[in-house]
Order: sequence, then C-alpha cells, then structure tokens
Amino acid sequence: MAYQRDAPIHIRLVSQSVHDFRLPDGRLFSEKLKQLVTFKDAKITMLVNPDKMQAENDRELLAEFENMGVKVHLKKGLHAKLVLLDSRKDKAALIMSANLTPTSLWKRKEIAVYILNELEHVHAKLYNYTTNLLKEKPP
Amino acid sequence: MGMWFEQFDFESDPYERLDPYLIREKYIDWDRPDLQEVRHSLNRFVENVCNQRRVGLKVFGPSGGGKTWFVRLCQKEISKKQPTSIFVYTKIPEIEPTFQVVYRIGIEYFLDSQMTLLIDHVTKTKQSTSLEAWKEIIDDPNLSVCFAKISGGGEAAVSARRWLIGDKLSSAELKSIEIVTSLDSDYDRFVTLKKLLKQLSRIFSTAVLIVDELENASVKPARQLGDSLRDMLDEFGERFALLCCFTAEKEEEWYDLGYTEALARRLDFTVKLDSLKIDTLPEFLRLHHRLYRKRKSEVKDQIFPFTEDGIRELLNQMDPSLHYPGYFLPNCGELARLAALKRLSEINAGFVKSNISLVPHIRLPR
Repeated sequence: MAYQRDAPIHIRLVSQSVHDFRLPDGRLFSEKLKQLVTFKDAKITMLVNPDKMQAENDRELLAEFENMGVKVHLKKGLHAKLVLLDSRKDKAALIMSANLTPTSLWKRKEIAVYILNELEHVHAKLYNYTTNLLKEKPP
Repeated sequence: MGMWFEQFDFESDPYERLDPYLIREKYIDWDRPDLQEVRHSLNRFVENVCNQRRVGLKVFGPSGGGKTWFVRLCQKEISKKQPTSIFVYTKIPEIEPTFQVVYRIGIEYFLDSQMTLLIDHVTKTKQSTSLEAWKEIIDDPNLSVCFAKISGGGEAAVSARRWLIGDKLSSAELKSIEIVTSLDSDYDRFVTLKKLLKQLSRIFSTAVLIVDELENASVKPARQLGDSLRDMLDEFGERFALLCCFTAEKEEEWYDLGYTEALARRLDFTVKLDSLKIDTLPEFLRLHHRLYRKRKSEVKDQIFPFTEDGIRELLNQMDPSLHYPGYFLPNCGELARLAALKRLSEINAGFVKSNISLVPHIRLPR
C-alpha cells in the first residue's frame, strides 16, 4: 500500500465502533496498526463513538490501541466512517458506509469511495472536518 | 595528535549527536536564515517575556527539526536580556507519561539548575538562609520550610528535596522537615508547582515553564495536562511564560494529541520548524560552523571543510523526510570524520557521492 513507503504518515480513522478483524493478508487489524506505528513511524488518530464501544472487549481493544501509541478520541454521537491518510507523498481518503468491524466489512452490503492523490479540496475539507471533531469537548 | 575536528579548525565537534540540553550554551545560536518568520516570532516572544507580560508559545516540527534547540535558544536570549528570569523545564517522557513524572522532571530541573539562584537571592536580600529569612521571601509555609531545609544541607535537605519532588515520605521523615503531608496526589503536585511558579515569578523578573515532548501523552492525560496548563496561565496576569513543544508535521496535530482549543488560544505565538532549504543550506552551515571554530582560526569561508556543492549534494541524496538539522548535521559529521582520516581538506560533491553509503541518515529508519 502507498502509505508504507511514505513516512512520516498521519492517519485518521473515524468509525462509530472498531473491532479487531483479519485483513486480506491474514494479519489482524490491530497487528497492522502496531506495525505501522512501530516500524513505519506512523501517527494514528482514532475517533470512535463511546456509546458503541461499551463492551469489556471493546474497552480492552481501545486500551490496546492506546498502549501502542494510537491517539484514541471518544466522540459522542459520531456516525461518520472515514479513513484519512496524509503523508508528504500521498493524500488519500476512504469515505465509506462501513464501520471498522468484521460485520460491516465482510458481511453487510456497504459502499466506499477511495480517493488517492486527487480531489485535493475534498481531502482538505475532510481533514478540516475531522480537525473540528477533534476540537470538540469530550463527553 | 589532536582530535579529528581540529584539522578543520574547530575547537569542538560541530556535528556531535547530543541532547540539545547537553550542548554548551555558547554553541547555541540562531543558524536558520531560511526561517525568518520563526526568528520574528522568537524576537517578539523574548521581548514579551522581558517586558514581564504573560505569554505563551508553542513550537512544533518533525523529529530532528530543532525544537529543543529552539527552546534553549529562547532560554539563552531571555537570560541575556533579562538575567533575573528563572526557568522550569520538564517533558513528558515516552516511558512513563504521567503527571507525576512530568512534575518530578520539572522540580528536579529547578533544584539542580535554578535553586542556587533562589538561595543567592535570599542570601543577598536577607544576609541569611535561616527559616525566618525564607519565610520572609517565600509566601507559602511548606515551600519556605522546604527551601530552608534544602539550603541548610544534611539529611533534612535530602528529605526536603524528596518531599518537593513528590516522593512518599514516612511520618518520621515528614516530622524531620516539619511538613505534615506528602505530595502524593497529582492535584497536590499541580498546586505545589503552581505555588512554586507564583513565588518565582514574584521574586524574579519572570518565571518560564517549558513543557517538551507533549506528543508522548495519550489523549486523556493530554487533555488533563492541557487543562492544567491553561489553568496555570490563567493564574498569572504577568511575569509568566509558557513554552510548549510537540512533534508534528502540521499545527492541527495539536488536536490529534488531545490538547484543546482553549489552551491553543492562550498561546500567543506558534512556531513551525520547517525543513532545511537547498538555497540557504550553505548559510545555515556557515552560521553553525562559526560557533565551533577555533578563536584564532584564519578560515576564509566558514563552510570549510565542505564546499557548497558538497553539502547540496548531501542534502539531495537524503530522503526529503530527513531534511532537518538533526539528521543533516550527523551526516556532515560522518563525512568530515572520513575526510579527516584521509587528510583531505575539501569535502566536495564528488567526495559526497563516493562516500554516501557511509552516512547514517539517508532513508527513514525502517
């Protein structure tokens, strides 16, 4: 993937809920994030809806992300689903209907739009939108 | 036989990889002709500090960008213009990013490098360092007793120091320093830090609090620390400066880290340390070399032993993500050492090209 050769990488992951799941290469999503942070010098920010992350294992997963250096923000009422990548070489956005959960990604009928190094104004607007979300006071 | 850098008329290694806090102050000076706006903000910040206003500055840039160098330069310029300023430097350590440790680092810095200024002040104004003298100067019962014990030396000084850095003391130890409770909650530590800074800003012309490596806290503690810093700023109408440093590519990453708009608004200046530019690179190296040159050196061009095409070639060979002083200077150091070994007196583009494989920072570490 483009971001692997692109450090310093900044990724913002926005999803109502996040569960661990296997990626097509067989690796767990959490392992992939850890690899990005540890070996690729990536900075990852995650925005999730606390009302959708109440189960014990959800909280454990968020704690695991925090321990690996992911900046986890809880945003009440969050319903957006977005992955935003920003590096010196690439700017990418994945705007989707799916949450970052195995059910959303592998079982439900969802849709996504992927933009890589084009529509820069859309990327900028999405970046501003997520910055404004981050500026909001926590619950 | 002298050291390798003496061959090039340097009195000390100009490329040494050291924590900027370990570099001697005389080697810290402005060397970024490409960052005129940053220079302007630095001047205005220093001017505000010296005019005893309450002022805040945040500085950011990627790792190796020179943030800690910038902080030391601020300290140096403030001390030069306002010698009675006092500094408390702390950072959020990656290994244990808690307020307890942040507080401890700040207090240890104060005790190790600034406490003598406070003792000198008390001695000068009261001709004594007795408890009574301290009580007249420090308007807080616990801090005055603590400082009196520290200045008195002996075992009580050790216990008083431990109390102030937030260690848990036994009741016998507390009794020996005549203080009732340990600083064992973050709230107690925060209040004590605030009181200390208040006292320092009253006694000296300005108290400057520096908080480095803000990026190491996770979101919740970052928010709490940010709120505490905001609270701290609001306590002072004047004679207080806050300097915050964080590693980031963009200013907006402040919010990714968990810090708030409320704190950002209170920081009057924002400084971004950008990458080195090919056009101003020779001037950067000249200014940097000048600080390390032997006093009686007759070198005609401070860029020596490099040539302009040599350093431009080096920068061109480096990954753009690494075009920062923290990577560029160690690379210069490797080449200069090699040239010294080969008894060469010029490091030009040809030399760089043929030895580029020996320099450490070409690509980002994987």
